[in-house]
Amino acid sequence: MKFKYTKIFLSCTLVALLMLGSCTDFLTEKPKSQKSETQFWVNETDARMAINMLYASGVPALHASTGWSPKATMYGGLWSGLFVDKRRDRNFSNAVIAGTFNIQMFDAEAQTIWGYFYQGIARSNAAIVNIPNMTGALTTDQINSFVAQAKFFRAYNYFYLVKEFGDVPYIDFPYTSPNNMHIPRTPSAEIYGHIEKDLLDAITVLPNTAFYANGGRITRPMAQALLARVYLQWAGYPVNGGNAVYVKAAAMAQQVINGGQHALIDPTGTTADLNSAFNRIKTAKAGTPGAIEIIYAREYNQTLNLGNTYSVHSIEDPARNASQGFLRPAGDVQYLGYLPAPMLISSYHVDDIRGMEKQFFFRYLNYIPQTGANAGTNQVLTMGDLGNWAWYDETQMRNGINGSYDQPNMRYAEVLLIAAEALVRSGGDVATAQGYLNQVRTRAGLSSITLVGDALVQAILTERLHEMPLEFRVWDDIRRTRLYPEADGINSGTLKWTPLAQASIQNKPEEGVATVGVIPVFSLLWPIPLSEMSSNPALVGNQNPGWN
Amino acid sequence: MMNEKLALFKKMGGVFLLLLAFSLNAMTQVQVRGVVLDELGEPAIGATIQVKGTTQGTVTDMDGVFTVSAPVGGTLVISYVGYATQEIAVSANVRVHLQPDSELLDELVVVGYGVMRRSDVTGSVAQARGADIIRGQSFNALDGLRGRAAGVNILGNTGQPGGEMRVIIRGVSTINASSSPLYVVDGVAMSNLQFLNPNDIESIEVLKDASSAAIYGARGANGVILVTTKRGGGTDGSARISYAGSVSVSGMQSQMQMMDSEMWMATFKEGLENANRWQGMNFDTDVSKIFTDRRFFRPDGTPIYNTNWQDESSRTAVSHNHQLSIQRGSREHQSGAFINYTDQQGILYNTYQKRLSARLVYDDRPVRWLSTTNNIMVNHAWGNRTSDNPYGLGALRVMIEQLPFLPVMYDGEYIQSNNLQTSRIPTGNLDSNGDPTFRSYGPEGMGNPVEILKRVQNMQYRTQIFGNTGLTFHLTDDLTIRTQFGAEYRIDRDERYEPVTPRPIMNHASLGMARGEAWNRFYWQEETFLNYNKRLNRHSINAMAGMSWQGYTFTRFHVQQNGFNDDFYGFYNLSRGTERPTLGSSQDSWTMNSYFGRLAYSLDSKYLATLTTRVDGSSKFGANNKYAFFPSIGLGWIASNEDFLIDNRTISRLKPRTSFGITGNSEISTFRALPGMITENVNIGNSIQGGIRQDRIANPNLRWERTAMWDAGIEIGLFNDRLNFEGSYYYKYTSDLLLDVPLPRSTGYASMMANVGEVSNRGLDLMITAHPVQTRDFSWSSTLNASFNRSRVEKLDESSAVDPTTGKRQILLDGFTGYDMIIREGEQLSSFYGYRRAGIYNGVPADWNSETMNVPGLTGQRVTYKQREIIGNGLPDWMGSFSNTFAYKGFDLTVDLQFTLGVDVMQEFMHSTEGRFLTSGLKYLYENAWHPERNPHGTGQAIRLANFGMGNDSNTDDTWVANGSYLRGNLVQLGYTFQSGALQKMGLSALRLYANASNLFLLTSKNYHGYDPDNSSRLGSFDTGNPNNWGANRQFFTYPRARTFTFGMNVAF
Repeated sequence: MKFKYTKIFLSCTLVALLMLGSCTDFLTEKPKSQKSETQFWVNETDARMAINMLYASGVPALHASTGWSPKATMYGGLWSGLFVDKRRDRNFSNAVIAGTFNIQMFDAEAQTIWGYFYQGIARSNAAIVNIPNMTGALTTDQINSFVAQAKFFRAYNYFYLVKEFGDVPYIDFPYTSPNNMHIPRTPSAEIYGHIEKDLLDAITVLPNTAFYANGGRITRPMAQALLARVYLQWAGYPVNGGNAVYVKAAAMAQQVINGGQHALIDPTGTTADLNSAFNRIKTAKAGTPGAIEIIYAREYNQTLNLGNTYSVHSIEDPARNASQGFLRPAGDVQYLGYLPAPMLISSYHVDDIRGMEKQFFFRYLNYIPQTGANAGTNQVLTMGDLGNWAWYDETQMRNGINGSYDQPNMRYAEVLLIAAEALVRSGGDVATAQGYLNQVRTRAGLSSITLVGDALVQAILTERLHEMPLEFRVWDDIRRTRLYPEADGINSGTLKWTPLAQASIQNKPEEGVATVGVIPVFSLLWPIPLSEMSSNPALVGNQNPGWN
Repeated sequence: MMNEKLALFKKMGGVFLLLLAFSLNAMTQVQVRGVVLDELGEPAIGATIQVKGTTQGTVTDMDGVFTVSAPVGGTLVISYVGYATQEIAVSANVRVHLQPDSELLDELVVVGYGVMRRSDVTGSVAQARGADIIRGQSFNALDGLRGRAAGVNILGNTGQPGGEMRVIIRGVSTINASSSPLYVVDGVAMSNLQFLNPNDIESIEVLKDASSAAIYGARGANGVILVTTKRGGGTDGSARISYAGSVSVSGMQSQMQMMDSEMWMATFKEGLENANRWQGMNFDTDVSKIFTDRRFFRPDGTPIYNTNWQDESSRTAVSHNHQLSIQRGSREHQSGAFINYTDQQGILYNTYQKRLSARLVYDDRPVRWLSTTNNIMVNHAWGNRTSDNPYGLGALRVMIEQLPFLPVMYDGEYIQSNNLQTSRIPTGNLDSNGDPTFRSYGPEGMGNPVEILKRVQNMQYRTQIFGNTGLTFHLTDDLTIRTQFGAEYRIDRDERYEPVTPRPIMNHASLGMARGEAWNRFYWQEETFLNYNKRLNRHSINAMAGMSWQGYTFTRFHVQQNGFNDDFYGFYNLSRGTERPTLGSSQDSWTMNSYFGRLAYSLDSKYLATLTTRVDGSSKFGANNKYAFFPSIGLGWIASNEDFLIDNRTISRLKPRTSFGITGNSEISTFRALPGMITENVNIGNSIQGGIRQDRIANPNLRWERTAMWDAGIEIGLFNDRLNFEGSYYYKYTSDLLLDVPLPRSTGYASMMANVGEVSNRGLDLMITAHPVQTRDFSWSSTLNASFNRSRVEKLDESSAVDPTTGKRQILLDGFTGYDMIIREGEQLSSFYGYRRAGIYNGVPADWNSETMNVPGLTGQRVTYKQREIIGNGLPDWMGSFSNTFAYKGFDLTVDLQFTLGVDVMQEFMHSTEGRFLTSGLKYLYENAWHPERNPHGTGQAIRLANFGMGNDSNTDDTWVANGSYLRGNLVQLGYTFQSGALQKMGLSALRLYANASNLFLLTSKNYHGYDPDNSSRLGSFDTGNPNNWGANRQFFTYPRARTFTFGMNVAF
């Protein structure tokens, strides 16, 4: 019998131990490698990191690497036909060339950018709502500064949404649960009102200093410059905010000009060599001579493993092979994704430094063959297709790594041109407008002009394209003016901005064919992504007209 | 106490005979001398010899020899555990060949937390014996299980040594969670069977239906694979040493039919002509003006080299396998040591896997009321793998796409596509400024597959320590309590190095790259359960109740460094890298707590019922849904035991059975119910700043997927079980499907994991086993194994889109070029979705209906129907095997065929090998390309020079879809087992020699252009965080499966 007691005692003890051993929170998840929302919004670091994230979310994320397809920043330029994706590996690239505006062809890209923008907005909203409650961890100044940055980014993303898609759902709160998700579209004019308010709020708080001097953070001049740009777009098609809004655009741009924080580099005219203003803009960083002109840029630095991939889209495929081992890009994505139309290149005036070799573009590739008869000696290759010098990064291309050039999102030259155009259009002081325009022209080696009225507007539009061909502005200009640039003589320095319906579209520049009227007005807005239409019933029946 | 002892002996089914060797018989006695041998001719040690009708008897000695005195004209009864009892007449010298008692061997089935008599089981349980699993000398246990269990589909994703397999039991019934079964080895869950030594397996049981799998509750919905490992064996206390070894030679089973140099040039020329004809160009079509690189082309433009890259990248691989087993077993004690070494070479250069595995078993019953089982195994596998991911430009892809006119090496250096220099030629057109325009040919940047294979190091080290220890308290004869602790610790480590010199491999970071990654996983479980077995007159009860705690933690660490100055150090001196290293670590964990029970009851050995239940709690689920309940019931009727059948000469076994129950699937990633904050680095102020973002929205209601399953089966044995039929029909209905439900992106989130959607699966598992011929010298056994499955998406929730044509809800998924998979109500899972091709555009618009078709502007391009449809399905309707074994005297011959019917393959490789002409292409590209004169009936698009920015539409359409049905000569094996006489001369107790060919032939549809329809480019398992749940057969480029010839021997001393 002794045995029996022993074994019963042993087994009972065992079972009791096991049952006691289980504690009540045995099944509670305790992640260690990521914070949960409830562990967040506690200290200053949380707030700072949430704000830092905004610098890489939404509009800034359009620069992201995309493999075999063009970057999201390029969509507009490709759509205009003034630039071509040589690879044409995606439906979108083929559709804009063929002029087949069918929703399936555009859906993937529409979804990409829609998603980016609302991601930026959601992250901004989370900061705007949560940070003011962190009074225990943050000073009032810190709270104001963080919220101002977040409002800037919310406005920045809504601006892109409204110009790309028109009326969109306006959401100014963060989601913490799957409720209240079906928000209908808000009229564009109202969205513009919200953008204006956010930016005006931000302007009162943000420091009046230069971008690089501010440690790469958003400044008052940037918020002002963005608001000026917002007004310019708002004033034109499709919202047609009109004269009053042009007046605001001019005033806001002039606040930047008069704020004294930024200026053109080489304002009296630049050289045509590798030290030109345009090459300094290309290589601008904090402390460099080009820094003063940059109001806001997406920063890149490959030594931090935070580089960009523009260079792999800067030259044609065969040039790499012809370099005989000199260029060794991260090969799987090397192709010319944004080839400018010959018409655009030949429209630069002969004196225009920007149209010259190795300013914005280049034809001649300098290389040193690693193999073959000429190994080790300097060679020059004439490329079949023009390359985009502004993006070409020899270090990147030679070492198969990402590049370190910052990508400007706003430059002082653009502010001058916004001020000029808004002044002319709103009946402001023409001489001042001409002065602004001529600053940009002088710097590029061109003579001053004294045009007025529509001719002056045309000249400003041309100047915008010539000054910022690789900064992705032309499609915005076409959409707000419904004018399209046509050739106006080789090396004339001018373009004929023609109503879109009658214009010769450069949609097949490489075959030398320009066709008339292939961009319908409805296609000046993207279709609302199909997935969004199906996941948000409040959008049903409210697709942008013309898309099917 | 004495009673207890006797009962114990009875229960153990032992052959202990207490001899009272008194003979009061007055009849004439003779001294009988004899030997008892088992079916292999080995001595049967400890066999019992009894003189019939008396208490006289003896047992055999170490040589199987016995001596007994018996009356003349009497009868000896020879019994031995596991063998049929024999009676022979008394004579001076006898020789007894024992035959295994099939009924006895089959009798016990492992069912999870216990064993049951096979006849008492009411569920669908498939069984495979270890000997069958290792017959083909496969290196992976799952490979050996393939085709041995009806309803268990085992897909070999890749032919690479150490390659992962996918196991699907009775169809896929999930979308986002894992579709892999639960693996349980000796009662302990194992992450997968990847590195388990197949030679260690005694048997595998597969629990397929709810009655059997519900005991594993929330982890049972995909079926359960129970592995029982080998123990000491034997009952006589003697030691046995055996060795099994084999050597294999493998080569490519088939090649993809690619263009040679000459055809490539002809194709290119036709591309120029087509451009002139239809694309408004005026090229000079003399290709010698473009291909001016004198290293590779003659002055007339003809290529100097003609490289078959598949030949250059592959080799004849030699593999070997050695297993040493030392076992000793008595009735109180079992122990064993098992050591295995395998070296498996891949058929592509420098790919291999070696495995060293050791296992120790120690089972004992030190005191009457306590027994213990202990088992520890250590598996260490290491090898070099080439990347199985085909979407980059790894060896698997470039060995197909690389240009045939480039040599492997030139001037001592490996040649890549960007070594080629070409000359640009005028298009004959002017641009809008009036300047001539030019084009030049630049091939896609592709590395050299031979260089990638030989010079990129991609070492993987996998260590698995797995063990368990259990204590069983024998409270009474009928009642035991068992507690068992088991654990699995895995250390996985990768070392990768891409060399610097002579220049970077294409598409890889320049100046060398070294990357190390390590994963540690620790899983433990503690389970305690009571077992009660009682046979009382007509009633038999088998009851079990228990509880379980499980926990899992995972940590991962990785480092990457670029920018090396030379290749000397390879991976092994990371600090030589000149760039900023990338580092990372992460952690993951989950816990489960469960209570379970089973009651099996049988009346008169005719009427059977089994009830099981399990309550599972898991940390993975939302705060509101931590626990769930999984019940099942099974009923069976052994009709052949009824009076009206018991004496039937035809029907020896007849057992209909049915079951119903609910199981769950909890195999989703952790932390899905919580809102996670994800960190990222951001460059602000030219410095790294930390950023953080919320990754998802919390869902406190997240809960299990639940599968309700009904199963009805019948087991029939005819002619004394010479012909056996086993069939089951099942219907599974899965609800609360875990799905990433798309959210409006305006929320800032793409999706949220939620329980939406319902899927059903129905199917048949059939197995016919026959022994048509069984004579003394010749026997023939035949097994036909087939299973049918059909899934259907029953319901999706309102968050998914509605198809305008059918009005059904649908979700488009993950495509190769755009979305090309669809989940649609009323359709099967794994459906391919895309355009149907109407033909090739002949340039005549009137011939085509532009209302319903996408008519291109360019002659020679494809015309597709506008409406996309379902164009195929990646899961087979029928899978099975047909296996025959013939034995003649010592010889045996096995022929094992496998088949798959009613499945499609999405040939994604058509994207580059048919659609574009950037690289090399399939011969089919040229032979099939439409051309008004050369090939007016061609169904492929006309040749276009994508390199010139004039490519074809290379998106998915139905011409990429091929019938994926196949018939495979899986295994042909010829073996010879030496007879006892010869063995004795050699001093051995058993010896078998064999030779076999595996994957000997493969018959596929003629539209299929890849290596093997079974392969998939969508690798990944739940384990790697990349579950391939809807299991489709989608192939871009895959590691070819080898044809292997093996010679082996099994010997026992």
